[in-house]
Amino acid sequence: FSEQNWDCIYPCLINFQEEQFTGIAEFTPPLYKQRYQFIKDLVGKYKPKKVADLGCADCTLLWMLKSCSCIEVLAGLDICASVMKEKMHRLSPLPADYLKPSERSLTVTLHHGSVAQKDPCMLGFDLVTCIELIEHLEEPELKKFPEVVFGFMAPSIVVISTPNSEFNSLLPGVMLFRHPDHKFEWNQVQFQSWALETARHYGYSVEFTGVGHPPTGMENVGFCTQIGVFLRKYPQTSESTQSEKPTQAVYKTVFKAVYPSLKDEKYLQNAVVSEVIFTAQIIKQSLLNHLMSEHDPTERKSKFRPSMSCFSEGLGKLVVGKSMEPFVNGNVVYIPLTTIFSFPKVKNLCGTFEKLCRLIAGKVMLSSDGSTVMFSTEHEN
Amino acid sequence: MLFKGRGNTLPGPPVRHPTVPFRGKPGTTAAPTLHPPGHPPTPLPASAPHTPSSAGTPAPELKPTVKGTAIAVGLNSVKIYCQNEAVYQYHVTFSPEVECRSTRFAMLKEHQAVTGDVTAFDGSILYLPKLLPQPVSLKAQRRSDSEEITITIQITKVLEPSSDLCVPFYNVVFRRVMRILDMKPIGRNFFEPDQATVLQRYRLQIWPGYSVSIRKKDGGLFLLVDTIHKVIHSDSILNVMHTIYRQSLNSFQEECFKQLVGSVVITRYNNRTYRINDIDWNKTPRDSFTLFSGEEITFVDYYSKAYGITIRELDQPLLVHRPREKQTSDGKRQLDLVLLVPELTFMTGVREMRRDSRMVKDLMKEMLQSPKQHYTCLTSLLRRIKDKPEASQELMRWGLSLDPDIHRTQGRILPAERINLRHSSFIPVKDLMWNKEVTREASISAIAMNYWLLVYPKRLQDVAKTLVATMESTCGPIGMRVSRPTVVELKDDRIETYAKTIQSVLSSEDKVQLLLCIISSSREDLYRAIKKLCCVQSPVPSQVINVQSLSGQLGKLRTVVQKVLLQMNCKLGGELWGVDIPLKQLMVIGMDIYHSRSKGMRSVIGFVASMNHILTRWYSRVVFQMPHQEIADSLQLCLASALQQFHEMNHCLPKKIVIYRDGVSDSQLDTVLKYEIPQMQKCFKTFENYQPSMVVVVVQKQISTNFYTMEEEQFVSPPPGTVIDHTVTSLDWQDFFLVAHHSRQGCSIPTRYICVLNTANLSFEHLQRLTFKLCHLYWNWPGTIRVPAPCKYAHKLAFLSGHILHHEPSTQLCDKLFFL
Repeated sequence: FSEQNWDCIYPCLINFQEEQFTGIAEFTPPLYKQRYQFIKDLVGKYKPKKVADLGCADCTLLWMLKSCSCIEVLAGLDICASVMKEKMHRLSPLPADYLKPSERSLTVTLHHGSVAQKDPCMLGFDLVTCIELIEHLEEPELKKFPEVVFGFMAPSIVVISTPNSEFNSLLPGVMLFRHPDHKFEWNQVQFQSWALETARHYGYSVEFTGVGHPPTGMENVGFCTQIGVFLRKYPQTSESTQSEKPTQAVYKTVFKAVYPSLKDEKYLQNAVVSEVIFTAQIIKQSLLNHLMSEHDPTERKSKFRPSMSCFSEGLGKLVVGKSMEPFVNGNVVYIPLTTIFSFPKVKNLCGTFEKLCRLIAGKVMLSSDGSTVMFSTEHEN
Repeated sequence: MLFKGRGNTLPGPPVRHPTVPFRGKPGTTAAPTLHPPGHPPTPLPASAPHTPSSAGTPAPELKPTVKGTAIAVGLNSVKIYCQNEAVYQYHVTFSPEVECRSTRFAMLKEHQAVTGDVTAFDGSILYLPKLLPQPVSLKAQRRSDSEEITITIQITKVLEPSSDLCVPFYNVVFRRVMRILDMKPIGRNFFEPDQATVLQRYRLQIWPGYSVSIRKKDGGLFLLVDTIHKVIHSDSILNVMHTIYRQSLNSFQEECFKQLVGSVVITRYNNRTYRINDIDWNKTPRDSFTLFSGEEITFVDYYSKAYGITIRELDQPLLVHRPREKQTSDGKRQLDLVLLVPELTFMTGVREMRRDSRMVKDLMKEMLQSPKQHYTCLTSLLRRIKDKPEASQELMRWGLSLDPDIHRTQGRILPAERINLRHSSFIPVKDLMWNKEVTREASISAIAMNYWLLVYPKRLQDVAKTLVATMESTCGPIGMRVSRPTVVELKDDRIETYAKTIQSVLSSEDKVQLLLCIISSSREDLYRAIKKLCCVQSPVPSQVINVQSLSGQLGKLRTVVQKVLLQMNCKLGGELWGVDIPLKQLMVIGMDIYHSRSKGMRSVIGFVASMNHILTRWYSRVVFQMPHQEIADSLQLCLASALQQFHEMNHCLPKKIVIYRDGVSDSQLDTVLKYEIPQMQKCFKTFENYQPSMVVVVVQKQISTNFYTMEEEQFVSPPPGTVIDHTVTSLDWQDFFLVAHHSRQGCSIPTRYICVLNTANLSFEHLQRLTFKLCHLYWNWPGTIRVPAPCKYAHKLAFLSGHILHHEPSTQLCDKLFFL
């Protein structure tokens, strides 16, 4: 048996489920995917470092966003802890992330709480997304929502999506609302006037767009999902933010994952040492091959087959420092660190030569003055 | 081959092998596939637990037994306490019928107000920790067609919370606990890559981890915990390919195939593992495949879109994984090919060819755990669960809680066995080793080496001379007589030279007792050529010695020669030592199976049966079987010829037959019971009025049960002879755990013995003692080993036949231990 055969998970309403039943015939890709893709494209355009998804439900959007390399902080907030917990572990680093730690750092956090409440953990974000969220809010919550998101969190960009009720007549089987939990569904005028008023009040500009095009000839109905993209007009001064913000935490953290990253010295050191040894082995091998071909020039004529052409690069890339060249003495190959540092991969990892020396100290066999990597020719093969 | 590597001749100190590190280890053959067509292993849940009695075995209730010295042991099992009164099983029906399982899940979820949020539901059976007022009838609307569905929840059973019906979903719950602790699931196990040990020299990482499972045992509900490690390459397969390219330009593709095919890889973008079956050199990541939606997409675009991964090298070939054939719901066979991008995959484990002894040593150093370290790891896991409220709450939802410590109980140490030589007998010392005695005193019987051949290449002339001289000087004390050999000097050490010369000598001489070959390095092809000649074509006992094992000081040489002499004596039909066997008219049989790594090769069963009362003469047979082929028929033949041979030697047939069957997994126990045993019993009819009693014991070495004992406030490995036959034993089978061997490092893993048939009225205690006695009788090792000697002999025989000979050895050799 496996986990898939058993469904002993936390039941809760999933707010995108509606689309799986009603919208799938209408839209390819399904509408919820189009909404997420819209956000991904937006992230690609503005390159935010810190992104929060309010009403993150089963974390699908967060999961998609974790692969965007500009993002360093991802946060999710939902009123229902169990729906978040259901699939939250897919936000954890994968085993292989530890083998190839990424260059950026990434922290993913999930909070349990309400968008009608302020919590300092939501401060300092560049992008806040509210996908199909507001229509689930009761009136008092909806009233507080603009103050929390635009007034308190005050990110550079806010994205809000919500159903367009004018489209409902085109959806089969939709009687009143698209989902039983919806408290309201707005038409275009309703949404836009709410959005414009909110934007005006908090100093944002807003642009309207959407996903799910109406059928030809019915363009005035508008997008199936209407979206407002809010951009803050003025850069936030850090002083004004600090003074009036309450510091008391009201959200409960239900999940936190810190991804392995080269920003962490432990992983950087591993990566550098590994790269240094790898590079040194390339140099060693080509030195030895060179020596061998001097003895027997007919050997080692490389025959590159086209499908293998990518494997021939390593040899060609050899960059040898001017001052000192790698050499073989007895059973030991000596490779100056400067030569190794001249390899782009090593250079990119360490940045400076001093950092290279510091990181490999004690991890790689070096000559007594620390300038040269020493390698035995024997232990391989 | 003698001393090719220690492990090949001597069983060696059997140490705890971490679960995953190496593949292709000769000693760790996987369980055979014994299932008859159309009889897949029954999955655990839902069906009633199979009991031996339901399968028609009169295995009498024998436990517990009482004799032996009591010893306090700690088990790698943790008691689980159930705080709920009961678990309630319901049957859920949807009317009209709802086909889609996920829709059923979703519909039931909507009624959380009724069921509560602690549920386990498989689509029709629902388990709840609470009793619902009956009857329950709920309404749901199917979104796809707005049809109204009536859901009826009908109670079917009230279960003990420790019922084995609950175990499957308790395990699901526990896997979630492990994830809450931030452990990474890979396959069935959990690892902590952030705690990796990096071995830069070998470009490997070792990830510590745990295997965990909840099981219902005789002593109640337990969490079985074991520490495990995963060895994984720090480089992507693409980098590995680059390295291969630099090292072997000309045979690049073949070399890649050799080193990569068969490996298990993990990928950068998911949690899954795949076995590489092939490399497709004609494909690149620029090729496209079809998505579920029918959309064609290139690998490059797919990984970029779905995972944000940029593939850097566009010319790399693709790795091919062929999943096992899956039966889809409509009965069609489905075979998907999985193509993997080398740049995004990492290899796990270490291939045999890449290993050198230093690497193995360095890896083992990192992975071996003393009992104390092992215990510390287990308790730290328990502490982490306890300290993390979400983790313990997850269990508490079902009313489960864990004992804060591992389970401690009492085991027994079986009485020490007396070792009998020709003129003397003795009780071995504490660690159960008797190397000194067997090299200083006469073996039970020794075959005089009057006419034997010594083959060596000319340049090893001196070594050969020294060897013969040392043999002559050391054979006396062990009771052997060694005459001068007929010397065959080879002009070089090419395989053909060896083969042709040996062939011509053996065909002209028919009185040769034994052939001793010296070879200049450990070469499997040469070894294979010699063994094929001597085991198949011109059957004669043979001994191959690598010259490297004969170098070194005189003292060392003497030790080596002593061992060679003892081994040759066995191959000639001599007997080294014995133990007291109180049972009369007994035959002991050992069986093991060898699976070839390469595809399409047949599996080989080794069959070894005792021929005399003191269990020092053995008769052996080999059976080759095609994949999925039933072995029962051939077993019948093996047993019949063993009985005939027994009759010829003893002029009677055995009254009791005890069979030790190695290489059977838990799920195959029923197959042994229902198919193998009845087939073997059939052969009794070929003898007049013959109805011997039978005991069949399945031997399992790869198990997760483990125990230690206390010595001066410290956990240490239990002394050899420690047996546990309660608490962690199976509810369904008669089983016990025995540590027969002494391990010098790491934790010693006990061997599990499952008695699936016992018509001999052999008491459980006597069976344990017989088993322990047999662990003393493996003549390649002057000490106790992990399994009964006939199993080890059967293993050696199957390995030689399957791995070296690829052929059945000649029946002329079957009354000797030629395969040692």
